[in-house]
Amino acid sequence: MSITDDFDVAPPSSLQLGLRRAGPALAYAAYAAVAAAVITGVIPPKAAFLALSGTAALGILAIAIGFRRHYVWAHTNCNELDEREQKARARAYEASYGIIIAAGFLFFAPPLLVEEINRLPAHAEILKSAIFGFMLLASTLPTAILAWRDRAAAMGGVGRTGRVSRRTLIFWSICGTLGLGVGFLIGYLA
Amino acid sequence: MTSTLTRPAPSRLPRRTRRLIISGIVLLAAASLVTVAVMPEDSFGGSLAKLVTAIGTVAGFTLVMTRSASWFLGNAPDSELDERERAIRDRAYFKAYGVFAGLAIVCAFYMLDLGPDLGLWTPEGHSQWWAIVWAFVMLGLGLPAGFVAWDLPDPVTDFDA
Repeated sequence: MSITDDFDVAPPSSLQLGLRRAGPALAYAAYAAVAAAVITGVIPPKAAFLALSGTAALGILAIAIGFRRHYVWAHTNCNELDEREQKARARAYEASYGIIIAAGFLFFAPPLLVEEINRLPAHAEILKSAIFGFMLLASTLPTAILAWRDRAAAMGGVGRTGRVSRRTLIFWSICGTLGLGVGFLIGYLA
Repeated sequence: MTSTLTRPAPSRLPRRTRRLIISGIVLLAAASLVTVAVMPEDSFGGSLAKLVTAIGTVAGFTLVMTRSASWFLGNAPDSELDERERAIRDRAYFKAYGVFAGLAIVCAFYMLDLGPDLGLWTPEGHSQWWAIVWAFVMLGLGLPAGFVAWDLPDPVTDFDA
């Protein structure tokens, strides 16, 4: 059942819905393919950081730009949304929260299974793949879930006039600056 | 399937007290992680400090979250909540998502890249990794209820009515 099934709106066609759902899935699949190439050694370790961070950044940009309406929906101020949109967004965030906790647990728990836990840097490619995958997931999951479940996209609405909230812009600016800083620091130390 | 969820009595604590309790639990959890990181594995004092801070964190979490309306509001299905409660819960999930995801990304970067490269502390051995994993599990489970407790307005008494 869709999150917006209980509202009286015209559903999009199967093709529209399928294309919309394929977008985020493609971004995640592309990242998974690059991560697999890094882990298996097809991409050399020296290029791993660039390949992983580049694919994750492109994935975030592709979803944020390609699904701008849903991205704005996921991040705009509450008072710019009507009751239906607020409800749909709340459900998307609840679902995303559950997924992100599970992903976080899957990320932090496996090192406990490693016999010699202090030799974790030996598995740096796997861990870096997991970090950038987590970043991609955390930044885009509510948008992807809204795009996946929204049955009312044909109606337009949110995202046409709404703007991303200032708080979101500040948050992502800080994240971006920190990310760049860490990247430069790692590059400098290497 | 019938629901066995029972609504607890509404919180009688004023918002200020609730915020103090939440801040105390967060500080205790941070202290717990610091003791795990700083105290040597084989010292009696270290083990005692770890035990006390861990028990304090878990007991505080259990008391405040599971026996109060905050936990209920943070986790009950929509049908059990009224419009005002749903609005508070929705805002709590919105904030919790940002905090949890941001913190997980920062910690992951620190532990796997920044910490080792700069020679700073990173978790060693199974006990320290377990402490990190448990901290994240508790944070993940308790964060929405914590934000609900933080945001819930002061209770209305008979004198206010």
